[in-house]
Amino acid sequence: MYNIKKNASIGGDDVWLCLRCHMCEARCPNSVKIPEIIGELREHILEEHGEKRAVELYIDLAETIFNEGVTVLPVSNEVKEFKAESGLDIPLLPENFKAELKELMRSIGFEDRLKKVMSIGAGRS
Amino acid sequence: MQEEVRGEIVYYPGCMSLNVYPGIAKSTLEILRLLGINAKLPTSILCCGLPVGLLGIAKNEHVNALACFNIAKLMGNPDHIVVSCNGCYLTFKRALSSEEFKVKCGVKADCLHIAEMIWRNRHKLAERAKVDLSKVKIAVHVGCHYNYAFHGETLGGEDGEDILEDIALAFNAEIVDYEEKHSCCGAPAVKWTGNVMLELSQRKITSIIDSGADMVLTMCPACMSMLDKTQYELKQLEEIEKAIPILHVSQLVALALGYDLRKTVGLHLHLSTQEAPLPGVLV
Repeated sequence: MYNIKKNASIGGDDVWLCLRCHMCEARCPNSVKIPEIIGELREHILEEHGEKRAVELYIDLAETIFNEGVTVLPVSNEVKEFKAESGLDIPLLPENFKAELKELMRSIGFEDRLKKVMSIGAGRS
Repeated sequence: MQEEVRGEIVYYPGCMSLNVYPGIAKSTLEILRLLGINAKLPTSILCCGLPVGLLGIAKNEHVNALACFNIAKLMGNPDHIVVSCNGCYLTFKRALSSEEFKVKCGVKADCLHIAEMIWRNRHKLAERAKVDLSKVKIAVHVGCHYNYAFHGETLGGEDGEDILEDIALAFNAEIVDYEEKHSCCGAPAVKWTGNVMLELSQRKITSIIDSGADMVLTMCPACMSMLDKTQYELKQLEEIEKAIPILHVSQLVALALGYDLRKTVGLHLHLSTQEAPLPGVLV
């Protein structure tokens, strides 16, 4: 893994083209967990070298999850009405849980990681 | 109707089954009720973490922390978690398969996909069918994060090739094969890699339409959303003549059991197929 990380093509798209669909893992005669390797490579590249396109396209998603709790809010008024009529109006995270979640994620280094990824990624052309 | 699952059960709808296609969540709850299961909902909704985990923005330990927060705090440490999304299934099942995770988090649950519960009870459910699906030709898409991510530990088919085909066959529908059956829907493709996402999705939906299928049957709202959006775009561009309904397995079963298409199945909330016909069912 060290050598793969060391030699990873930082500027190329190869590591980002993988779908992480696990089909290769299911078919591999030695059950190599290829999607996990790709995942670690992505984590490493984002952390050590940044990726402007990740910042532009996905950091909002990460922040929405940790600020609002969901990846997507109701997409239309019709969806809101359907949910209300169906007993599916599950509340968003209350403030005390938001604070607790943020503290938890801070304690395991996620906040620092996000800041680092954003600062490196934003500066890379 | 009996079902082997006992104890405290929470249905975790996830972001997509709740905020994009809530007909999936409503249909799932109705099916659970029919199975004699009074599932609770989480007290608040929090993403399972898979989207940022797939990309590499969050590490496994961060995704697992979200899973733990979800299960311990928001679901109240239940005996079973039922999901309707392959992404949520991947996250929770993977975390809960680790004894270390369970001990550290102080949780005991296992994770079940609603498709698995329907599959186990498919013949009993089909006995209650009020809608004839015998004229409907179905193309199935199980989805990679159920099909391939667990080394054969997930359910396979008995009567058909997979659990969705088994369920469709139990309700007397006809299965149609198609060339891109085992390929990805395109949803997990990283957005900046050119047209990969759209190309995969277009290839898949075009292959399904070319097969003569009347509808697509899925068990993942993320796959469903990808195919729904692509089909909508292709229709706008007049690259396909007709759009066909794309239904989650909970929605198809609810439809077959006679639940209201608008109030329960939520078919009107789909992007590409609000008016699409289904032979002998929707005209």
